Amino acid sequence: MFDLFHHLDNGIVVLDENFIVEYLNPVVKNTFKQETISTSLFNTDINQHLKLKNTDFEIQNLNTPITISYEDQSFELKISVFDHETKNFFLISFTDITKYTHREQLLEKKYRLLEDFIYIVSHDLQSPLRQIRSYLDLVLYQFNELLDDKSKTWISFIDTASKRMQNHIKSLLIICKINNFEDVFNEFDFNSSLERVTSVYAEDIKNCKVQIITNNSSKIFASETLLEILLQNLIENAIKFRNKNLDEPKIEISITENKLYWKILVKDNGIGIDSDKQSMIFDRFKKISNDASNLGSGLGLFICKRIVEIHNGYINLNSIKGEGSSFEICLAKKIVENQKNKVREYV
Amino acid sequence: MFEDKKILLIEDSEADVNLFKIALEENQFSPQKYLIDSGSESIKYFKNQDPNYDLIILDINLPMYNGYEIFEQIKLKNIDIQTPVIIFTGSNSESDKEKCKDYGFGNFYTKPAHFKEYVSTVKDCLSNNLINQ
Repeated sequence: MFDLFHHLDNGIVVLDENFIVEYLNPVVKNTFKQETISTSLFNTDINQHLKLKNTDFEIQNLNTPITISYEDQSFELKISVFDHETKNFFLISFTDITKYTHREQLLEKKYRLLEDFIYIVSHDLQSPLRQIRSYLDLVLYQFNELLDDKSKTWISFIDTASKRMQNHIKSLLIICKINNFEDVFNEFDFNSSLERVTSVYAEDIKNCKVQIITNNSSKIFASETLLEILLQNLIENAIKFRNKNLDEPKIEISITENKLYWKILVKDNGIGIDSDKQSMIFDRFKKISNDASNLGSGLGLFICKRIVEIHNGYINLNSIKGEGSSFEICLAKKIVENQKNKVREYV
Repeated sequence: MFEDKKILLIEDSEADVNLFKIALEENQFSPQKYLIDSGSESIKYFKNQDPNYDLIILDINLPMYNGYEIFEQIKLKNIDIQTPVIIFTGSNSESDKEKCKDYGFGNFYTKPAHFKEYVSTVKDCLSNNLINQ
């Protein structure tokens, strides 16, 4: 009954429900040693994905190909199940992906080089910008009385432009960090992380009389570094776009959880966002505020979106112009993260 | 209060050296009391003149050897440095701060963007590292 598989380019193995080999096509016979086929290969790699539940087979990750290495070659395995004369059989197909793996590694290497390049350039750009700002400040410090108002205004323009460029570079560095992400996911207390972030903005919070309301905390399993960057961006935005007419601008931050995910809510009573602009706020370099004093890079919410994607989650915005904005973030509990296969977006 | 203290500043950028000098002067620190080097000759200063300095201020990104490499070489030559060494750098990265800790440097200071902060940062690093001696 398996003659059909005889001339295929792919390797085909058929196992019965006790994992006894029923059929091997010539490609498998020529590629793998007999003892490997009957022992280690199936017992270790494939059995992990097959689980016997009562009398039925439950197959985990049926649609996810399994990659195995064998004597310098790489193979992708796909498992399917079929029944024949009341018996269950597993059909395993092998595709040689060695050349693709090599290409992928080469691509990965080139990508790393490019990211290193951005990282180094960004670092090298920061230093002269800092010097420009320091010297502008020095001019104001030492020659303040000699400068007329016009000169001071022009100096402030240079300073603002430099500051904006610094923020752009900072955001680029964060994106590089996220894309080069190798941080471990660990369990930590959400509110402790939140406290660290709010302490960074302590002065702004005090000056702008912003009230930060936090509710119940929760243990969360995520990347602490990335979560803090996410919270930083959202809090910074909420402060920046607060309603200045209110005596008490509020930012309410809460976390809840269910079986599948953690839900974080960052809610403010700020100026809100026009409904026609809401769909674009997570896009790169989108600045929906035309306010000249906004020194942001337009990358903050794009960064948030990337961080949430790394956690297999999503971020949503609910906002009413004039009433406030609320960001809802869901982070999946089961992180099916495969960094190598992650599609990276180049900035 | 820093009159009788001597500083070795290892810094390659003329712009930063100048800011540092002015910040020292703003802190009433006599300009004759420090030596500036771009890093290439640093080992020599550590070896021969170390006892003459009360504080060594070291940048990380230097042309010949970076700040860490300078320290590596000192370790290789078994030079025992008693003088406190602090890192004064443009970097604000966590990895550099960690590295600074691993090497056992006394303190890590990021060069600020505003001159006024420069004055207070320099004052702060002098106070922490000289007065407590």
